[in-house]
Amino acid sequence: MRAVRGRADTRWAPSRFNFAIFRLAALVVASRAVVEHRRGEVLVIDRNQNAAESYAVSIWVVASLTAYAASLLAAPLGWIAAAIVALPAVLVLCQAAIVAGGLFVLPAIRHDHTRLNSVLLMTSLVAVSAWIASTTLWSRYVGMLFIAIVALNAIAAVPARLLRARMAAADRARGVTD
Amino acid sequence: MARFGALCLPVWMEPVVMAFWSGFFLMWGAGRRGVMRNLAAIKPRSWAFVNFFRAYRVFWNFGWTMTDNMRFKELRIIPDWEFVGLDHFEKLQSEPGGAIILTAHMGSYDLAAQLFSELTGRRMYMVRAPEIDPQTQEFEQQQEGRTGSDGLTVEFNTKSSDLALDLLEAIQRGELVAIQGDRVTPGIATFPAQLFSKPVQIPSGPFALALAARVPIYPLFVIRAGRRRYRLQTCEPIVVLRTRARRDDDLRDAVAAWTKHLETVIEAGWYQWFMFEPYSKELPA
Repeated sequence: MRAVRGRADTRWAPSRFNFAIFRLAALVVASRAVVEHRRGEVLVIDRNQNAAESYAVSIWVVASLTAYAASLLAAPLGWIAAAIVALPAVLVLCQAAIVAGGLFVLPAIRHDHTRLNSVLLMTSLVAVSAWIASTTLWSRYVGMLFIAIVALNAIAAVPARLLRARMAAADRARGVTD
Repeated sequence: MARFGALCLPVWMEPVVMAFWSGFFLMWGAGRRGVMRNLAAIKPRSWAFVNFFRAYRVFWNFGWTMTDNMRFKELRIIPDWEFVGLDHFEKLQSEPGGAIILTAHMGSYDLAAQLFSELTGRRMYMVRAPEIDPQTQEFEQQQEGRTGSDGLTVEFNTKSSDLALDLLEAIQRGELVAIQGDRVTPGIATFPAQLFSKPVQIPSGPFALALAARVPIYPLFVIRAGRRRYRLQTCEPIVVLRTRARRDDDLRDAVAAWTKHLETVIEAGWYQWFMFEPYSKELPA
């Protein structure tokens, strides 16, 4: 695994980000960032290294699912009970989905299943959001927003791919070597 | 289960899983009460109600460090590091003979030991407290055998007399010995000390070993500083010298220096001191 020593500005290297939107944002910031030497700093180059990206996606997924659950449970349980139950129910469902996804992809490849499971779960989330968006529930707007963000990321993947050379240059400027 | 998680859990779902399981472990009464009693001693004027939520934060950090450790062992994914006390760390690396690293149950000490041995090329001997549950202990030993690194030997301090000789030999070969100095297990020699104004038993082995092998003790703490980010804090070495007629008098100064470092680090990083039982007999069990 690659790491950069003594450079705090490496935190903006695009290769430390995963989703296309975040990679493009990192490219913009990296092109303006100044070199920041910091003794004793070791930053690892891995596409899932950025904390803000990970937390943002996680919160967005849970918030969307909680809205879906609350709107679906409102009819049988009433608004107050649905609001109370929605978040714990979503958290339990997430664990079940991760385990089910993991068991499903486990035999498919030998070792690292995180990427395949990630694709599987995100596809399921898009499918659920599409269904919610097609209903008359109030959460259909949340579902639409979810699909819009996924679509935006897919569109951002095109310039991110076209700007690969510039991203590599931004990485090198932040101290990342091959 | 932790291995399954490391291999199947999408990274963008990690915070959700951590939040859920930290809440789940809050239902583990003995562990929660242990953490809360320790917090009451670390923060004397704190409220039990607030310490309940602080206990959640301890479990949250514990979950993350377990995950980081497992991701490293299974997928070789390394977190970011920042070094505090780099001069002491460099001195430790360049110690011509062996040295003792004294650490605490904080952050990912497992991960740090593995990385240290892999990155510096120096052989390390890590002594760990055995797990209370025999099945967990067996799993841990299997894990070490399967995913450990070549430069790191992990020993569980179940047989202190045999182990002391092994450690002395390792130091004489110029290896580093890492020991946790904040918790004692049955059958281990102890030394009385004070931690947050409460009497506590500290393992005396590291200090006796430093005296016998004439090597310095480096207090070193691995502190989780955020998601996939750790701070490696190396303190000024403690030198244990035979200067007085009674051996215990020499050890007492060294133990006091260690507990002073320990107190400072725990006070600032109480949320990741993974001590799930009351650290002092004076604290109600």
